[in-house]
Amino acid sequence: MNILQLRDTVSQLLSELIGTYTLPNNTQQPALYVVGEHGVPKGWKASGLEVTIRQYPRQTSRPLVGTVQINKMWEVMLVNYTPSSKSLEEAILRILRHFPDARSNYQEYSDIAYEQYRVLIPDVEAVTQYMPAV
Amino acid sequence: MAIQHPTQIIKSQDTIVYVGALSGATRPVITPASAGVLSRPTSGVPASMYFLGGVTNATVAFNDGETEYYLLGGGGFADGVKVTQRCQASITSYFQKDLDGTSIDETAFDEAMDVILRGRTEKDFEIYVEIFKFLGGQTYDLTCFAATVMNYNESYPADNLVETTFDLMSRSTYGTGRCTISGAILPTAPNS
Repeated sequence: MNILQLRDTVSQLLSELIGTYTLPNNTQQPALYVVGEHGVPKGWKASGLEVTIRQYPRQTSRPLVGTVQINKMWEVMLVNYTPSSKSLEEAILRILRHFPDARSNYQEYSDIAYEQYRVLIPDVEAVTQYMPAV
Repeated sequence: MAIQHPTQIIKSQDTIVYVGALSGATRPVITPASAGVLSRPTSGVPASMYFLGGVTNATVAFNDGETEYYLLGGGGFADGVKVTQRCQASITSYFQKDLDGTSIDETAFDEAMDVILRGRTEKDFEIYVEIFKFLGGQTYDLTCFAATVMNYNESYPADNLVETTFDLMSRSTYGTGRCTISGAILPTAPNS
């Protein structure tokens, strides 16, 4: 899985649940953003359910016989900017049903943070060893 | 005081298992090692050999069948002679689809896995196995043999990957010993 495949999958899964970004020029677009080379621009105002996906997964490894197992961990953040909405509840359900091996962490609404889920999606691949050029 | 240097110890990551399908009754010509030195077979070897990726554990055992005897008047002490020799490689690996370059082929298994999976039903199907342990430079400890796949087993832990275990039981002569090989053995790209 790569970031484009993950983004497309999440976009299709959550489709109508995804909130909106209002840009400084008042145009609107779906609140789905890949955070990596760039974060969500400062002037963008999120409403409803914001979905951000970390572009670069965390990677750990396990040695195999002659090859290497790379364990990637993709991170998806779901933040509910509209407390009265039930989108977050439905969104996490759809994500966990599609990625049964995902792990989720819930953080409730407080004075300093909106209600949110942090979802970690494991992704395993076996690859050949990387040798330096001789 | 003698010290064992860490680089003396060979790591499993520097070991690799290759398999290839044999056609019909043709087996590679294997000459057993002489004084521990083995020549890598070239005759009858499959044109395509594939590395087994995703191997989490491999065990290679050399099992000898022995006939015991004793000499009358020899005090009853047992002696023996090896009458059969067999090599058995027990492998644990992940079940894998095919990866060609960077694209997944959803319609095929990984080439090496495909060779193994044929052994699930084709009881007369034989494969050729080469197991290399890298010693350094151009020297490897090589074990090679024609084999049949036996005791194939799959497990489906719901929270993990599909694992397969199987035994590669040697047929006829096996070779094992130090071997000089030019060129890299550890793979640098997916099977194709």
